Amino acid sequence: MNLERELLKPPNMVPRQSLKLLQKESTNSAGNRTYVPPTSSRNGVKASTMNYHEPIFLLVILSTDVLNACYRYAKQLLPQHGVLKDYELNGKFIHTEIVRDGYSARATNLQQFEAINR
Amino acid sequence: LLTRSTVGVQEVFIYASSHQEQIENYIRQSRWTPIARACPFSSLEFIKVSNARSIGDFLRDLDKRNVIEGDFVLVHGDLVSNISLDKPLAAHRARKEANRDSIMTLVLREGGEDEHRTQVKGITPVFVVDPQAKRCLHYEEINPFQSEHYVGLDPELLKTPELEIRTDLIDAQIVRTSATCFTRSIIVFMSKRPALA
Repeated sequence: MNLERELLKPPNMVPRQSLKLLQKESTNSAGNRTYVPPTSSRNGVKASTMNYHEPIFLLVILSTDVLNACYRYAKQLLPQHGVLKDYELNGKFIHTEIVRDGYSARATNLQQFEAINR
Repeated sequence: LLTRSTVGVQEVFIYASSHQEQIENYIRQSRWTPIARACPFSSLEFIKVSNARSIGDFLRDLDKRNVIEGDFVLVHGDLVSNISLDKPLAAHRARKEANRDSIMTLVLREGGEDEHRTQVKGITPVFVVDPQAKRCLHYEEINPFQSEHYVGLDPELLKTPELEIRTDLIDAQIVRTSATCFTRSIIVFMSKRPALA
């Protein structure tokens, strides 16, 4: 695996402003040359090499204010699910039957489902 | 299926959104296949829908096929329940005979004032119920990421003599619906459709 990492070093062409991936090549140790197009170099493209097999972890910490803002924005864009208005039923009625005895729940995972069924 | 067998369900229709073949193979090899003697159901059918993305899509497909006549129970596959449906079924039929516009009954389990272990974590369901008529007048979910924890009520609702606003009800998502009014009942899921039969 290490030998493969050494042989395969893909250079990634990333502009500094937008971080958009423009070019990606795989070069080996024998032909270790990277072609950078002239138009890209004028736009501030830098060539960086990173190991192909190493994963990149990005940790983003958001405050509750950012989450609230995202939630409000998504609530405006997305249709309202789970909200029932009486006037939307075209004169039809939905009733409720509230029971106090018995067990009723949805199992959230397989272990819980197995435990409840036993 | 064990839950459904204990409440006297005879016919079962299974919609699977994913892993349809694995579920079907498991059912065919288990005691729930209608061929087996131990199977309490008279029929068990799998219905495949390729482009369904929600319960509404499944219900629309079920309505097109005309495979159900009479009342039916709509549940999720992961529901575990031993609630007897005799009383809700009798109440639903009595309401339907009195008024044909009573198309659906939600079966809810009371969770009590304290935190119940089967209550939904995160989202708080809010039911506005008329206790006399047992009508569900408004339903809304409060998300924990909401900055304001308020419920918006239609002023028309305040004309009802008695209202109960409850957050302690455990929604096990058991719905008893009338197939005779089913074409109209699916407007709950498809409010964008302009005209309904």
